[in-house]
Amino acid sequence: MEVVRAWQYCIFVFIAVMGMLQLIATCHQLKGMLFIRNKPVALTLSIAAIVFAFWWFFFRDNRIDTVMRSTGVEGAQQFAVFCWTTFTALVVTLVISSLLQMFVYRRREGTGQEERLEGAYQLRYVSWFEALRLAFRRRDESDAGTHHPD
Amino acid sequence: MLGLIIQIDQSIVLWISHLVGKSSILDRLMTVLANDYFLPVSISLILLYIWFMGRDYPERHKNQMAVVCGAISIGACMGFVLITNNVWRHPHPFQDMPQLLDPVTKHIFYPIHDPSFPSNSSALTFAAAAGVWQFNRKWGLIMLVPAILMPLAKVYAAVYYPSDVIGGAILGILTAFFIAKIFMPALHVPVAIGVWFLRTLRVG
Repeated sequence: MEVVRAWQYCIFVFIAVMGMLQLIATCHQLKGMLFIRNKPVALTLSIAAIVFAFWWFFFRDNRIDTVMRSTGVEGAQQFAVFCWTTFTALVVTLVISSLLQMFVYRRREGTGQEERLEGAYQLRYVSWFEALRLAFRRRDESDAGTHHPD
Repeated sequence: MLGLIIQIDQSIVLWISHLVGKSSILDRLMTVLANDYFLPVSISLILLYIWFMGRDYPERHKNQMAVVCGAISIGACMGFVLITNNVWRHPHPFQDMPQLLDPVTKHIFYPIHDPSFPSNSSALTFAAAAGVWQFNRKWGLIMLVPAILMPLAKVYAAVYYPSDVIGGAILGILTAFFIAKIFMPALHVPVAIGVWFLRTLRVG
């Protein structure tokens, strides 16, 4: 009898989380995390990715009436797979979006105010690579005792 | 007293189970809602959304604390459910009333093996909702919808008694309250370091 496999759950979570991260980036204007800069297209594709992930996992080949009615991935394993897959999806999203920013959307959109933003919201103006570079540069400056506009 | 509760539980489950098979749309909906993956993953995606939400720094910090509280509450609650399950092994409705096994439970869900009281799905969903509610009332209320629907679907599938669901919900809410009011203030420094670390990595 066919059951839900961990790798299937992993693919489902990976696509759904990638879609959700793109949706978050679109809604909160985190341009540094976006794959596609066009807002309506990004919104449509992110929702489509989430819907596709759910359809693929639950409804293709009538799985909801067959595979889903038996024990599959146990709770603890489910939790571990979810955490690792979410982490991987986040890293993959940040790396791909940074590479796209470097090689495709070459124009740097920073206006200086990104240096005053904290955390993920710096991705509104710069890519993740750039945000990390700024974060560590600022730390180096603080260590050296230099004045900073913060 | 316990006998009366069991009697009421069985009457409610028998009454609800009469609905199974009457409407294919309702059955399909309950199959989706009772599923082990559908609502837990949906709740996790909502938590991910809340993590990045907020107009300014204080609002975002509050939302991140809501997610931290929800996540720790879920983990702690699962531990409490495991302890309770080992202390008292309460049978499922489909074990007490085997006539429900094929036409009801196997039609909607599957016969699970771990003890019935307290309902772990109810504990998990209510812990998440109550944890978020401690810091963000609006999203806490939104998360109450899946928190109610998933255990309800499992009662429909004769997997849990209403008292198992209520027990799980109380356990989930109390755990979230304990985490928000006692655990998080006591471990304020490690929580703050964790959030600072994620913020430095620009993912928080």
